[in-house]
Amino acid sequence: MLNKELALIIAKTIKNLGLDKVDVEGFEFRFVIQKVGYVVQKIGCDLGLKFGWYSLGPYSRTLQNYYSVIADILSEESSGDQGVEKGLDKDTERCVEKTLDFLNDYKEYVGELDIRSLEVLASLMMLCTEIYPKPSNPLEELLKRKKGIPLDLAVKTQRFLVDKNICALL
Amino acid sequence: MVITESGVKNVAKRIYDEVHGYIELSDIELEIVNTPVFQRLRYVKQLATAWYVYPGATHTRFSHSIGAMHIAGIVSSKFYRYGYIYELNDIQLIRLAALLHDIGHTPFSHAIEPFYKYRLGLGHEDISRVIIEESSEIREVLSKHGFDYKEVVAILEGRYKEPLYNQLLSSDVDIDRMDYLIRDALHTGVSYGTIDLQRLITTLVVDGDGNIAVLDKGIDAVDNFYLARMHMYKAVYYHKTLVGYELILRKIYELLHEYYPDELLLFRSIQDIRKAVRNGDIVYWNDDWLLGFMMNVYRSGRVSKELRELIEAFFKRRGYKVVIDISNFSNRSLNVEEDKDVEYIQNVASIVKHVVEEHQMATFVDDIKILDEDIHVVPRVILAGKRSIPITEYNGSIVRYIPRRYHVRRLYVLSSKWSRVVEELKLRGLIQ
Repeated sequence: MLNKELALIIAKTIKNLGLDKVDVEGFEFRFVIQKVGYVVQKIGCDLGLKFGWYSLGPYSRTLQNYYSVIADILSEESSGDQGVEKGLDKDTERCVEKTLDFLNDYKEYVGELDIRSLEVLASLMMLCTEIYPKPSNPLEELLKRKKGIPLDLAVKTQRFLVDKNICALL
Repeated sequence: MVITESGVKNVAKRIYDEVHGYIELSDIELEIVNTPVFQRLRYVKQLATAWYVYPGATHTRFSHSIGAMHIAGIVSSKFYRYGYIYELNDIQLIRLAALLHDIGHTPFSHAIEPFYKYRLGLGHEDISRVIIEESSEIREVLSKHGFDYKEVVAILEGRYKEPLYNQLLSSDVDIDRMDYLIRDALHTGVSYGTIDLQRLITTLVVDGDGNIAVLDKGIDAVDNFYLARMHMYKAVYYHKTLVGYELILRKIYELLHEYYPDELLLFRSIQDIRKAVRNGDIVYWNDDWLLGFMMNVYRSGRVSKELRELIEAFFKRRGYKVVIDISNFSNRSLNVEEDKDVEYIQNVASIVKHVVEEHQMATFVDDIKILDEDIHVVPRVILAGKRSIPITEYNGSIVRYIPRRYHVRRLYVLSSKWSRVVEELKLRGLIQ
């Protein structure tokens, strides 16, 4: 059954980043949940999720079950209910904070945090840390897989991840 | 280099399969199949306790694994011919991943797997990884033929560098499902669960972004695939009696785990599993071992009352019988905390607790995903030979309209207590 805390962590992160202004029934919302969920798991705390490597980057099948729950939490917020303000314990708060610090740093570094930059970030993180066989040049691999990605965004993202010791310096 | 239609370079053996006819095996595949850890799958039934409802459903993970490998070979060799797969050796790699994808299934498959999921956070995919990592035989066979076991594991975990291979093994229309839907339909006799495999494979392609897609002329085959799946969830995988026997078996396993700490195959940690793979004991971790252990416990005379009652009920087919079943299709996730029907089942269960003992009853609530509604994994449709869109957005497909989820909420009691419980609940006006 569903882990409410997991839903709350992702909802709170999305809300704080201002990424909740999308149609909760649409593709973008699901995409944001997947990529933010991945960053939370890598940076904030272990959510126990398993992510696979697909053409749109990291993807967890389990997270599908949370789309409507997260949408409900965010709508409770807009309807004046507790929503993301529901109490979280210290560890969970710390998990959200760590993720937010990381993503806000990234936002500052590349100038914008939207679904495109989230996709680039999460995909490069996965290429640098989890994909096997490990690509000799994760940036090249990313550009090969995702043809529409702006080169400057990809390069900046890689530099950011090198600074954060997530990707190795080539 | 000449390869056969199912992607085999040198055929070492042909095995007759009830679904696909003759299945070709290469040298390496034959060596893998001959390892004791793979032979274990002959003793793990594909559908756990389904043979209590469908007597013919006694097929095993062994035949399914070989069938999945066969389909993987046909699809990947087609993709190789079309230029979607560049390396000939990758066909063999994908076939090996398919062959080994279920190597970690627990005894009685999905009946016992949840026990390890909740207790140790281990699903059969995790156990597959452990077995491949720890089995020197599997690793040596792979290595002898030039394959890196870590590549096989990466595909099974969806971490392989080629997203297409991950999709082939795990997406909404993947080779695992292509085999088990036909095989399960055949053995249960649920004819509306079958699919048009040939048409499905013929119209399968890869779009410009590297996603598995289907040509628009193949849409009926995909529609049929989804409808078959929906029927199988209802008629087989979540059949009320079948689930009842899975629940009783799981309860028995829990009690055995509690009362028999010295039994080495009742693993208590991932280290226990690793150790059993290394010393070879894992081979005996199968359906027959569990049934034998249950029988020995039952006849030992030193068995607890509840365990004795449950084992007897299992062997005599007098297991859990459904008292309340509220199952329905839906497009929303089941919110267990707020769902009125779940609350009703819980309320009735709290009353039933005063009528029967705890082990004599069970509740079952699940929210089953019929369709992966996510653009990451949902198959795409190629329109007019060019643009591709997710099938869930395609007007010409029924997939757009089929329900996304199947909610199941049930209350069971042992058959021997069923009449008493039903009578009590009728008296209280809780059921009709």
